[in-house]
Amino acid sequence: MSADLAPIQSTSTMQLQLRRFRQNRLAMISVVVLALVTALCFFGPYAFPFTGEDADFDVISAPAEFKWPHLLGTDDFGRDLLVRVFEGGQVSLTIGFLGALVAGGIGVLYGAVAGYVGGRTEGLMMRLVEVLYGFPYVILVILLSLLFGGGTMALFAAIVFTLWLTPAVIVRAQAQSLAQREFVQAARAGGMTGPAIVLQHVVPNCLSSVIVYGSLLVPEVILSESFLSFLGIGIKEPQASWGNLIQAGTAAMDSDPRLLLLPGGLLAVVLLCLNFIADGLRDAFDPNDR
Amino acid sequence: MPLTPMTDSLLSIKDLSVSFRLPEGETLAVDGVSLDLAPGEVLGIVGESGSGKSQILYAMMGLLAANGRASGQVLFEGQNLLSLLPAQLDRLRGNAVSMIFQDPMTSLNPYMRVGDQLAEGLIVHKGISRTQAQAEAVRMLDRVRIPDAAARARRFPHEFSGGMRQRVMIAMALLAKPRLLLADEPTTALDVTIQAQVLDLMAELGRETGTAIILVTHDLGVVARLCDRVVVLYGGRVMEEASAETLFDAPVHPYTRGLLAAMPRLETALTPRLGTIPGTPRSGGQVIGCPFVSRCEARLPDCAIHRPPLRDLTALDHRHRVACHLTGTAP
Repeated sequence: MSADLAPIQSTSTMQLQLRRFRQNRLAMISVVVLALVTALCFFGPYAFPFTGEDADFDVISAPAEFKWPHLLGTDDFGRDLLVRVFEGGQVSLTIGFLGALVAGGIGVLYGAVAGYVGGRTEGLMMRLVEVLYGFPYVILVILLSLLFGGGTMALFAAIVFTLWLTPAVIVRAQAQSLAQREFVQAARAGGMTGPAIVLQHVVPNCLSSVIVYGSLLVPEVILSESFLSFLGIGIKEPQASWGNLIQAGTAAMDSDPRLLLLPGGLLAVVLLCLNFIADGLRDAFDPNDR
Repeated sequence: MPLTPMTDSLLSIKDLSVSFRLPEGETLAVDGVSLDLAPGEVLGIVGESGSGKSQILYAMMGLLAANGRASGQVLFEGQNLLSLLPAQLDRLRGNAVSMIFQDPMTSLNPYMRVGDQLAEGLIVHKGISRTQAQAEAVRMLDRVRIPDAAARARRFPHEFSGGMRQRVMIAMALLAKPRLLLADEPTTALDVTIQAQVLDLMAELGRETGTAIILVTHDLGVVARLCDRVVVLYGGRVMEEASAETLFDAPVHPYTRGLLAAMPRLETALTPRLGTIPGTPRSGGQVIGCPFVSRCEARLPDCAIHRPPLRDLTALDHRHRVACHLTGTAP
């Protein structure tokens, strides 16, 4: 009996779901493309002898001629476009993933506690979420920019501040039903304390839906970063981000579309990839939708 | 084993009532139940659905639904469980008192390895290391006859069958060597072929660790097999309490007799129909007289007006108690 039992690998639900995800070709291609873009953005700039903020006044607005060192030419300050797009990508991707992670983490904990505790505490906690939902986003960003003196921190804080609400609501609903499940009752009957139950039983059981939602959160964060930077209230020049590169590109759209197409195209590719991955994750994690 | 100096009972429930606040008003699920349990004793609580039998256990464990309220006293080793602070209750639950739930398919966390779930309680209550707790868990799984326990402990609940999961639950409940085990219909969700096996295992391990068991069930066969003493519950009240033999050989209360008549037996297998108790259990509302009056075939005019007290009937059994007006007049 034990002989034929031993070689079989024990598989967790999570492992089964990941196996299903790996069978989704479009999602897997997206993972590869996204990994490539990310690697290029983070390691690409090291291949060049200058940074994206170094202006080369000899070659202002050079066209894309694939000649070293300015492979895709320069902008109207003589800064290398390719390196700037890479550096912009670093900012956008970092804010995207980190923002989704932090917002998701806060939302999950908040929702799990609210759903598990229930009663009046839950009511108060969720009313607070509803009040925050009603807060105008752009005005909030402008206020925070003033508070933090603008820049990355203000943008990050504003994005996290608005985006943790939806995961909190999703997880609260799940935690509420989990709190009635027998294994949570059994844990209570086993003398486990509230915080231990929330961390060990409630949160892990919410995780698959959170991962699906979180994967949609990443493109959302990237998009809102770009949107705000485009409006000029996010990442400020000379620091590059895809949003302000696109904004600079639109200004010169008629004479030199290259400045718009490169950051815009890369943003589109990344967003597409993230959405395909989110789709694949949803298919893999949601047993009802197959 | 700390015992109260005054009594030899492990658990003493005094006038326990459980009520639920509902939109229609207050509903009394358990109505003034009193019980005593000696260390190591196996007590069965039987009754139909809605008779309040599970709610007694939930009240003791502090697991009542948010709209539920318990009053009275539940003295466990002299400590009133109903007035303990949450932190004190947490120290007791899963340690001195543990509980087995009805449905083994849902009482294990699907995202946790079985061994980790077992070990969790030990780490919390006994303060031992993870490795020690794991080893202890594997030993216990072995004792509930999970084959190849060491390998199985690293597996997830969905890789276990229903019977195995209930054995895991038994292992989990007995791991901390509790002095009292509450089992809420532990075999209802299981295949008939393994019900007996799981029950025997529970009783056997209970005997080994000297654990007293309260077994809530609606299956009289289970009671006959395992219990020393039986409490028959109806409408949240104790109708009859007796040793298992007395209850089966000489039931007094009309409800108990009705239940026994409705139980299939080998010797009556050829009779075409099983007996039934006419009517349906009452739901909600306060009853002035005996809760069983509307379905009772032997009712007296007094039954609907006066609540029959729980009287001692010591002719056959020194702890035989019956709540019926018939016993007051002509037993």
